[in-house]
Amino acid sequence: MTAIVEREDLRLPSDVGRSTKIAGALLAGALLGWIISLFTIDINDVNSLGFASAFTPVTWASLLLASGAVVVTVFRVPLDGPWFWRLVITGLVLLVTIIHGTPMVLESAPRFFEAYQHVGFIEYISRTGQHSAAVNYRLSWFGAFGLGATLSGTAGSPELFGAIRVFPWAFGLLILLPVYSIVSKFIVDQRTRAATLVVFVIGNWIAQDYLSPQALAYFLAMTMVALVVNLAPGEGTSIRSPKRWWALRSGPRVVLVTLTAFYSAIVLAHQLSPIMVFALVLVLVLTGTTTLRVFPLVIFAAFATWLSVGGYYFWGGELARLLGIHQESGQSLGLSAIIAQNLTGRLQHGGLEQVVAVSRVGLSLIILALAATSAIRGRKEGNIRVLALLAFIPFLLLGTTGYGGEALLRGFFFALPFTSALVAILVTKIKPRMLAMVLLSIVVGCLGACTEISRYGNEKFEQISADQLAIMQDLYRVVPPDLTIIGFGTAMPVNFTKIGADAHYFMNFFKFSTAGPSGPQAEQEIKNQIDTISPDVAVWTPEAAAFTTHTFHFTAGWDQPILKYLLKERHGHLILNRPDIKIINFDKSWHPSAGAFSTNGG
Amino acid sequence: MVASPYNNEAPSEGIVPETTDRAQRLLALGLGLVVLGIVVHFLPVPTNLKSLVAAITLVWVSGLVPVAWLPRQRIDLTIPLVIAGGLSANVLVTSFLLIVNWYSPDRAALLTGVLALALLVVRTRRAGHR
Repeated sequence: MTAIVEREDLRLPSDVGRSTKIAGALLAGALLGWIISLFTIDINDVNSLGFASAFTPVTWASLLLASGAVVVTVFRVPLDGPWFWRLVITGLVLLVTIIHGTPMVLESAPRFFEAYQHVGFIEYISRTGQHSAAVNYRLSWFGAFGLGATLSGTAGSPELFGAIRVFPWAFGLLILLPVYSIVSKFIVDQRTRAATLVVFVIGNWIAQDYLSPQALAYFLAMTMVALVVNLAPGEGTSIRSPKRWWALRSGPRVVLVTLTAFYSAIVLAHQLSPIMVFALVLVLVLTGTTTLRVFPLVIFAAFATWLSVGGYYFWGGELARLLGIHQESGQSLGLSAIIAQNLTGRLQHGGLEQVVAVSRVGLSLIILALAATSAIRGRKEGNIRVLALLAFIPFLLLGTTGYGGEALLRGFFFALPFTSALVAILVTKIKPRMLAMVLLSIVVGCLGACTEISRYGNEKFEQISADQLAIMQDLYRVVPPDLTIIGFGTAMPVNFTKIGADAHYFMNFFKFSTAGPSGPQAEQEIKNQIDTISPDVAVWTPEAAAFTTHTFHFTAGWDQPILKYLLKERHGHLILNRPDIKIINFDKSWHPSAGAFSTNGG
Repeated sequence: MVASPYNNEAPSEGIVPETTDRAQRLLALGLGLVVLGIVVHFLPVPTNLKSLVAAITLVWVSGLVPVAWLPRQRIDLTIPLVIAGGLSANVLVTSFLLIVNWYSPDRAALLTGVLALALLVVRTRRAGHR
């Protein structure tokens, strides 16, 4: 298999030093601008557009300068000097830091309730030494949570809120290493390799980079693919020549053992990622990109074994779930319905949230369209055909899993290293003239802005304050054991401790997203759920009401009758009453002290 | 590259002549990291810092195992190999202990560390015999 060769250098000798200096100056300006903007951004300015709405002109300027720096570096800085990769790496670190590091530094509490729940699973394993799927079916895949317990628990109780904060930024940087290793197998031209990493950073808006098993599995998966193509490389004889393809099989034992260990860890960590890895490895084997031949069977056996044993709690008795037939209200969803959920359904918002939705779909479609164009143009080159296949195969997930609403996003994420490479191959064909560089810098800057809006656009859904987090920590500290807690909110961190001890329910307003509780029927349905759960404590936050009003067009103030019902008809007692969080106690035997909550807000 | 003084045969699959020195260096690095982790554990520093050092040490030591056993790679593959190797090793050991219902964080960390050092020692000895 031939890799894309180094392309002809079109620069003039006099341009060499100047480009390096320009790139360095742009990077210095971007860094300075970002540091200044840390002191000027007010996170209270955040609106439905997301964290990007708090960005100041200086922040946007620093993003534009960093984009300009990577464009100038990729296209014009000489490859034979020492500066090319130094500038590329600095530019990538700056881009990732501006996009993911700004929220990391400025938010008073790390975001995303799912990450807190994962901390809860880790704490549960650390505290009990158990992995009971009866507590939560996700503990059927306990590998990542167990890893967290081991790594964080050797010196005492896990303290992982800091890890939630830094994880997206650290992941955004670390994942570039295996991605580089993969594309270096297919692409020799260093400028195209560097451009691939830039496109990957810009395209990584999927928000699978938080403290989660899927982030761990993704890193392991990409490292595994990098090992396959680099440690057992094939010469490109595909299965279309079956005898020669089979004759060229080989696989060093140490490589096979290492790959099997990696895959076993992925299987134990996450339910979906092993299928993706299987698909990617299958493409590499069938196209002769690797000399491995029966390895896909080995990993499929490992996946099937764990699904049959460890994952039985997840699918037992529901064969349709195992076969990936996504169901809603007892009805199977077809492919068109899943695409509608992923694409058109996500566009049905109003106001600024519509901008976020359009940004997400638009950014993804731009990358996919450019990748498709690149694949069509280069269809006669074997390596481009393989990259195209690798970019396409994750989307088969649409038809093979029960993920429904998230399938397209995850497919896009696993395809991203390969779509990025295809886009980079196309874009680096642009001649590095000054006007083209300026325009390209603006385009990359605009796409970077779209990434910020797309990745951090769910403020009403995800963001919490340090006060809210402190109150939730206090609540878990002071409530008597074995209480039933119900949470009314979309962003509040719950279940980050005491999983398996307290019964915790989450009022899922999303199930009312189609009809909306604008009429008495839905309101009554919510009341019925409350009665069924019969909570001892309720946590009430306003962002759920705001989110459903903005996104699903619930009538403003729809939540007040529910709050009134909790307080009046169920005789709840407000033990904490703040605009951003209310705690209602129904347990007559529990009387928390006046100082129970460190942040009572008066 | 430094040739092994014991390397009288043609290198076999996956083994390169530099292996002895390299394996010894990796083993020394692993032992050094373990000592560092133990020292920090007994220093009067915050628990979070102890946990952070222990986590990095544990991942790095166990990640050295595939690096020692596989042929030398470029840095862009070696770093993810160390991290992914360390994470995988800890996932596997932790999962095993959870399955056999004998899990505690200390036990998992100890077992992973001992296994990693044992595999590094075996690799060094095997390289020395070639």
